[in-house]
Amino acid sequence: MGEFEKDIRDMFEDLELQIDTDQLWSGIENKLDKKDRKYPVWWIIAPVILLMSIAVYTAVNMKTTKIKIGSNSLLQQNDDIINNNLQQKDHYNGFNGINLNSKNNTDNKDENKNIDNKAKKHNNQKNIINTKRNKLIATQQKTPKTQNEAIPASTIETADEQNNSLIIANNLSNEKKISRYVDFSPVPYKFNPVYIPEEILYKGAFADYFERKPVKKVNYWSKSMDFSFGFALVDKNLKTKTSAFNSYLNKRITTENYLEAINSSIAFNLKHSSGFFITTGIYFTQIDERFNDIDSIDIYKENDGITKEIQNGDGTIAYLRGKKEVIEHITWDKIIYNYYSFIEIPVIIGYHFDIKNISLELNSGLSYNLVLLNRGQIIGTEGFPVDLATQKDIFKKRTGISFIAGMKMLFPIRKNIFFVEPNIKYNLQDITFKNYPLQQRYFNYGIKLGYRYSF
Amino acid sequence: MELKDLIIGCKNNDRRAQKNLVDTFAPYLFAVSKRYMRDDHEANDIIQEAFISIFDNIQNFRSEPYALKAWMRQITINTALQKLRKTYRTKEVMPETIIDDRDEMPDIYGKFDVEDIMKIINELPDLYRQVFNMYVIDGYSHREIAKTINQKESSSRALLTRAKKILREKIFEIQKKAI
Repeated sequence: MGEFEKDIRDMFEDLELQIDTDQLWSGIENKLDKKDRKYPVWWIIAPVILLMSIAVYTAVNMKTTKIKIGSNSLLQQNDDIINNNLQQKDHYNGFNGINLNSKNNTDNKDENKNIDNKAKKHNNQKNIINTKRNKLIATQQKTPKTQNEAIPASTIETADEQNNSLIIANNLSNEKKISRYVDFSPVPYKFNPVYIPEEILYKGAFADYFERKPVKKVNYWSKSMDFSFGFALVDKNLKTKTSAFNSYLNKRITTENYLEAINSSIAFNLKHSSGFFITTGIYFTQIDERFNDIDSIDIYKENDGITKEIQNGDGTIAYLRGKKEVIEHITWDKIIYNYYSFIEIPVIIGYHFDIKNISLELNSGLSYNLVLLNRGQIIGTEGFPVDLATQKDIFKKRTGISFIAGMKMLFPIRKNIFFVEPNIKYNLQDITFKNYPLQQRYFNYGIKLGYRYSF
Repeated sequence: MELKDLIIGCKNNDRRAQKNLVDTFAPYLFAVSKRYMRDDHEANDIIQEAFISIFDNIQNFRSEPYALKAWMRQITINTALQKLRKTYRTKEVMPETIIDDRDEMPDIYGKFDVEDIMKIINELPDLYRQVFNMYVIDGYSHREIAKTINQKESSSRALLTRAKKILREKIFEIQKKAI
């Protein structure tokens, strides 16, 4: 380095220029205060989901059911029989213990008429059986051979059993005015209603009912909304396109650690009675990682010391002392927390089935991913850290399609449906640009917790 | 307040310590920033951003207190370079021809104020000024400079030589006028 450069360096080495530090500080303090107030995104999303869940829960519980009783005189008459027959009480209570769907009974007058007609029909049947029973009793009473030869208990029991069935069926007929659909699913009644054909009900085939075996289903569609929040671990799939960038790849791998993701979602489900369903909605995912780099600086200093060794003619060595330029290399750890946030629009298909006390939903599909924000630093191709907010030539804005799959386990808790869903997601396309030397994709595997609202 | 206490205070997010640090080092960092940014307002923005970055990262500063100044200078330079990089959106083809650098450089010692020299340096084109600052004053190697400006090492050398040539001509011109 020449004298000119040295003079320039000396001039500027410790140069200070006047500046209004109060004004500067007020600007800095302002930004620091804003930063202190800044919460991570999921701090906002989590309470929103919680509030929405509470709102939905409240709305569901505030819903009142209006029961319209049909104007059928025969049924009114039969009510007396039901009330007087104490033997039926246990069955009746048992029957009432099951959830019946109170679904849209008021908006279908034709259905009520049909029910009334059917009620008339089975009341007639009941009257015939009653008549037969009375005749049988009368016959037995008229011709008693001895005191011991009274009516055989089995005969009366048979008649009573038939009568019970009718009365229960009759009672159900009242209930049927409220709904024709009964839920057999472990998930509450709103979710998976099943149609009970009257011929089965009227024959008293309640064993199936109590064993929770669906007898017959009809085609229908049900709608529901899922609100979920989850956590996932993330594997980064980072590859080079050519071996020339192997060292760059290694540098990126060694400086980026501890990936995890949080996610939240709102999804709409449309499910067919066969069990197949389709889902779409909006998912939000934030991947967090730690960027760990070593930063360094060379400080030029001048120290007093030996600048030259001179060998004298007599073999002794003389030392010249003077100013000597030394370079001090200082290093420090730099840790920056990066985050990459995405908005995803999924299209999922799946199948719903029940096992014992839980309902399962196997699902898989594709999601279209858009980058919302990238913040932090990574090592750039030039070997220096680059800022993700300003470096626009690494990550795409539209990161393409991902494959998603999961297994949702639905649990009824009182009248609400909650679910747990282990899930996976894999980027089918690179999230980096074509001309960037590395290809990057993510594989997420995690668990979601959520609430389902059925319409 | 001693430098050591200032660092501890800043690590604890103590506003008083942070302000003290700004008061102490702002004039120095402003001079660093001013070398890279022609405009006072831009230089001010740079040190504001640099101080935010310093307070964000001071937890990771584990060296001796005397190294703080150099560390802060490095952050300020990085902030300025990042800002300058945004201006080099189009990749210019830089000259790689090395100009003969054996011309005699003027003797400025004791003849020019630092303000005069700064003014002359600030008149250099952006990229020339950046390379000159990085190499001559801040001690970067040509390899590092080349990476920063996204050019070849030979381009960095060529830019430096040209910058020096321009400076020499300007200084001689001023000297002639003075005579």
